[in-house]
Amino acid sequence: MKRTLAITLLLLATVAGAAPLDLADVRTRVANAPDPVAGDEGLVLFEGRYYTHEDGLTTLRVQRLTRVDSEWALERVSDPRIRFDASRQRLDVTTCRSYLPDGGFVDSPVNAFNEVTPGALTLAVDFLDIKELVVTHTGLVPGAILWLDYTLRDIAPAGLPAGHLIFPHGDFPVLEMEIVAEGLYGETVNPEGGLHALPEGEGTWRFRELPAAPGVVHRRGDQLPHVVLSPRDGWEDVLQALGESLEAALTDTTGLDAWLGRLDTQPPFVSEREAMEAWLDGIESDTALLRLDEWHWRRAPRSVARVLETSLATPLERIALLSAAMGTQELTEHWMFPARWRQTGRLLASAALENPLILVSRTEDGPCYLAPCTNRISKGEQLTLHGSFMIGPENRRPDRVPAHGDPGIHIVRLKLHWDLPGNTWRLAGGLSIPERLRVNLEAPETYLRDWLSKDSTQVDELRLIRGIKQFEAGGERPMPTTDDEGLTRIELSTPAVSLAELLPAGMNRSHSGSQTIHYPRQAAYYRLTWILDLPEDIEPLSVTSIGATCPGGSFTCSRELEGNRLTIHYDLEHDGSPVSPADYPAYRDFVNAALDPAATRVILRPREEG
Amino acid sequence: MTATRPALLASLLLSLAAPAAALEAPTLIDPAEAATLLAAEPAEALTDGANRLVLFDREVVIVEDSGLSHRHRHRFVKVLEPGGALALRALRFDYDPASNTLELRGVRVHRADSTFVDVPGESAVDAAQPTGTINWGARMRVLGLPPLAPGDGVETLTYSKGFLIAYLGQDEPEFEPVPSAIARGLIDSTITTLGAEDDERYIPPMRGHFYDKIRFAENLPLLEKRYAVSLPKTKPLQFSSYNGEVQSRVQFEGDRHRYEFWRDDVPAVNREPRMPDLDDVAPKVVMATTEDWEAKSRWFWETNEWVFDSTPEIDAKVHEICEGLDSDQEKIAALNHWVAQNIRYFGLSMGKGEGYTIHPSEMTFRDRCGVCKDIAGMLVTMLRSAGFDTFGAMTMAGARVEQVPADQFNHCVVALRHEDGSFQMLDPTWAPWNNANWSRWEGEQNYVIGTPEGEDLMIMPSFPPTDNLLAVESRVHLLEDGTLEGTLRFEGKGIADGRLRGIPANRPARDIRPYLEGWLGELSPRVELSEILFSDHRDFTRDTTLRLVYRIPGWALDLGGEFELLSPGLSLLAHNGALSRLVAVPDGDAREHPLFLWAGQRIELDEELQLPRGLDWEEPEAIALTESQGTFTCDWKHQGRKLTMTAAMQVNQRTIPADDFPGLRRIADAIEERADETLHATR
Repeated sequence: MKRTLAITLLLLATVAGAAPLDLADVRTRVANAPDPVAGDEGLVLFEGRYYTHEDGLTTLRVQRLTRVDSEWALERVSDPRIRFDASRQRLDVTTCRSYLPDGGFVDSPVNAFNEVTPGALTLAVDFLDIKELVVTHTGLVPGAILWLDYTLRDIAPAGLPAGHLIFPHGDFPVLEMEIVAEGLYGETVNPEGGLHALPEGEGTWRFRELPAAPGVVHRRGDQLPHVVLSPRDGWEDVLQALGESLEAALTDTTGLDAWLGRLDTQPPFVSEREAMEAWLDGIESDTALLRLDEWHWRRAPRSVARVLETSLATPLERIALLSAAMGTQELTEHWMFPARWRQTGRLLASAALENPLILVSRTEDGPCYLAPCTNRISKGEQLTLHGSFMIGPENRRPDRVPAHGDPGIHIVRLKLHWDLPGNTWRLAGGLSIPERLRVNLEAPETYLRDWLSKDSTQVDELRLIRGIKQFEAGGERPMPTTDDEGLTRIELSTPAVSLAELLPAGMNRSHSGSQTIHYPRQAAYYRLTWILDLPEDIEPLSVTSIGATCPGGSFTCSRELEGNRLTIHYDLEHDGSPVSPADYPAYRDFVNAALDPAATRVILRPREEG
Repeated sequence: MTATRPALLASLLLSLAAPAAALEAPTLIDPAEAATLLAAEPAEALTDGANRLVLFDREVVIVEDSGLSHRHRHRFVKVLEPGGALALRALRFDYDPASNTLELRGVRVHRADSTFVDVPGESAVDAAQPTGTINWGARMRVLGLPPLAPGDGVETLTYSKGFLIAYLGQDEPEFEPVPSAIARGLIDSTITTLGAEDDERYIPPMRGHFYDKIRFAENLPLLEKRYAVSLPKTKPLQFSSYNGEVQSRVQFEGDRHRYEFWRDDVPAVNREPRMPDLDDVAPKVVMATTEDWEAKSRWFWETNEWVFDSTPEIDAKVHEICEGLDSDQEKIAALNHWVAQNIRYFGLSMGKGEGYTIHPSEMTFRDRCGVCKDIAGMLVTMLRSAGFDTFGAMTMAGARVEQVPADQFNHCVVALRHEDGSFQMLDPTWAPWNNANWSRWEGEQNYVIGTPEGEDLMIMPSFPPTDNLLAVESRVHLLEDGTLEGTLRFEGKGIADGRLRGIPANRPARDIRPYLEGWLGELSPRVELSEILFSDHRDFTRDTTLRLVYRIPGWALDLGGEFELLSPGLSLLAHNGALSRLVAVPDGDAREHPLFLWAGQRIELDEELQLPRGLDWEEPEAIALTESQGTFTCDWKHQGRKLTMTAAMQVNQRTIPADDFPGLRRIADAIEERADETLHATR
């Protein structure tokens, strides 16, 4: 209530129209700041970001008025680091001031502004003009309100189209925020099913009373809405410029022949695959990978010659070097830029796509992806690249892999019959593995044999009828020994691909709640049946069933005993739909039940008389 | 440029800089000699998989009467593996314009085929060093090298004048620092009154004196390491070697004395997890012209005494903090914690003298930030304002200070002198969110107090493990269906207090629950945490407590009316590194170096497990395992449905000698094994 009143007063006091605050405005906002709300660590009273873009040059003025209500918050915001490229930008800090709870204020002294080198650049000679200004607020105590006002001005254009991504939801709630972009294209991206949404804007965005973003442990990907600003109208233009810069990097390849000569990859003595592996190994061993968040993406890649000369490469430069190597053997390739998040819009803030790949369409083994930042080669179907950007080999035309592809369904059907007195077993089943997991099954027979051979199991026969999709197996497996308690414990091994594959990336099963959406890796359909013929003097300890359901999924593990035959049905289905925070507790129970070792554990005991 | 010009230039410059020196500045070696050195196959036992080999590392230091030193470093490194070539893609040379100069007098790449390339030093890029929380204007020169290959070598010759503030110096930038190297703060030495002459700023703060600490082993294998220093004969140098043999000799050369130290065929330091600071294990020589620690102490006092002047604002704050407190110890603790919580750790340069001069307390009180020396200075001033006799003190967190009175400090603390002349040590820099006035991470730590009378080198006692006692009370009820309902209550002293207090202090409130669910999730991902209750983490008059109420469905394995289950308390403690120092004991059967845990600790677990009606416990066997550096005892008493476990786990001290490591590992193993062994409840 108090906060609402304060906002009303503030709005009355604020001059209509988006414009940077002056110090009188700041003092008014400080004086009218609402009381802290219990549990808040801090509050952004105002944030303004004012962009003007003209003739390829951007000027950005940032103003931020933040109250810190806890020691943690104070440490979090007391010494911001403003990164800039001194080769083409000028940074001016207008004011760095701390308003104290006693009514006074402290302006940061001259020694509170320190220009330093980002740590990642220590040995990157060509990049040492990228700098950080460490700005320190002095005199801080909890309850202080920090005012920072600075301008970052281009004096030369960026090497690549340099846009901006702005996430209004941050560590603290935001009372008021405005973004004004002149000369830049803008887009609001509200992720589908996201927790928050921002109103659309056209050149100007104004937000009020934004809640804080979820805690760090719950913050994933782009589930927070954001504003994208770009100097180019559409991702195609950004990619076009990126392609041109890569082509330019390929024009000077001095040193390439000598480098390739050392790698010894000339046909006919090595296969295409061996040559590609050697190039990737060479890139890995001869160029240090420079990652500097998004900043190196604002610089055009240096020439292949310079990359080799300095033994240092950004991800883009590794692509250029690999391309140059491939060009010597006339391999055609797409440059691929996997989408960072599940959802992107029409604009691309910059080519900030961390791990570019090269897709080689025609090789002896079919299409494959080369990842020079991770030194990996993957077959085409092993990567999920939905939504990725690409630049084609012909005319370097920008393109995009269709978004929201179906990740596939993981189907497992197995029926195992184990005759414990006879020490024999038979299995019939089939697996339908989604693309993402097929990397595990390049040699399905070996894989199945390894899986079946666990726990003293002897595989005498393995017949792939329709490959991995239908197979039969059989062999011998001895009855496990009994323990000191007279019990026999059997862990029924789960199918060829671990059940843990069910878990969405980043999910911690011990967390009771979630403030983010979880995305199961794929739909799952498991029908597992174990039939155990028991010796007459043995019986199962328990035949209770367990189960759990959640929106989109169900799981049961039932046990039946008929005579000496114990049959266990493990049935699991999930449609792969995203798990909202509201559905999370049920989903957590569902996966915890399915992954509980008790589900696949059988304990046998001597049969009781009578 | 010909091969000999840099050398001639170097000699010329040196002759201008230090005409009196008999010791000569080095020059780049003859390319033929370089080729011979590169061609020689080093012993495999020496290189042992290293990607580079230091063929030689020679240092020549010429010291003037004023203490101003001219330092020439000549180093030749051979590339053995591609990784070594990549590591040498550029060279970084650090310096601090406030206290030293740096010249790159020769950088030459010798190829395996005996050709060579000179890399102009002028092409180095001068840039500010990366920083964390210390922003004092330190700079670096970064020189890119042409691509290298195994068999190539890089020869560098640098000249510097002045002195280096200890924690701005990084001999091995790629070396992973041990914790002490990133420990807070430093007092290098002293203050100097800076004059108008250019060289004045390079004269060491303790004018006329010289000290150094040279390691004779590093991260790379060394064929030859040599250090020579020439001093006026009026400045005798006392020195001693530690951690292994180093050859030495002293020569009289007219009005100067030359001291030389060397060691050949030195393997790379064997890096082990949680090993002590490199200075405590690598062979080194410590040298100083200072007569004794008392002289250093007096000088430190004289240098910094002026910064402790109070102001009416500081006096008023002291009055406010101490109001209503009766005893001296209450006031001392209150002031220590006020400084700890309100002067945040962030170093801004005050210009002249930064790094070795404490900021005036008026400045620190105004800025509300500083590094350890400034934070300590603030407390000295406030304690004086409250009527206590206090002094600044130099210390070394995480490593020994050797007896030779050379600066070997990386941290600054406070000494309070009682009426009987005894000192009480206080460290506000390590006190944030810690109850102890002197952190229990800082046992057995050397220090020198700056007083007008002069103090010798002293050492903190070894703190008993009970100073860091973690008392855990676990109450467990097992339900008929195997569900566990329990409470856990933790109470920590010393480092255990800091660990518990840090949970609410170092993260936003919304992240506390997931963090603690992560703890209990190690027991079972099905855990349901229903209550979290901390004591007030801003209350430093009591140890921190934490109470958790939780439930775990399916904790016990139902064996047809009987149960198997684990002790939740023991399972948690056996695997939680935030709670137990024993979890920090690395795996392995033996070690070369001691194990450095920073602190001993005792954990006492009192657990009651209550069964449903009709069940009874099988009482497990008691455990009593004692080794030279630790103990594990676990005793059980059962009374009907209730089983009471009393367990104690202890690591005795912060440094475990290598010979005692296997015993401590046995203790850690025994705890894990017992934690993973089921308890049985029968009908």
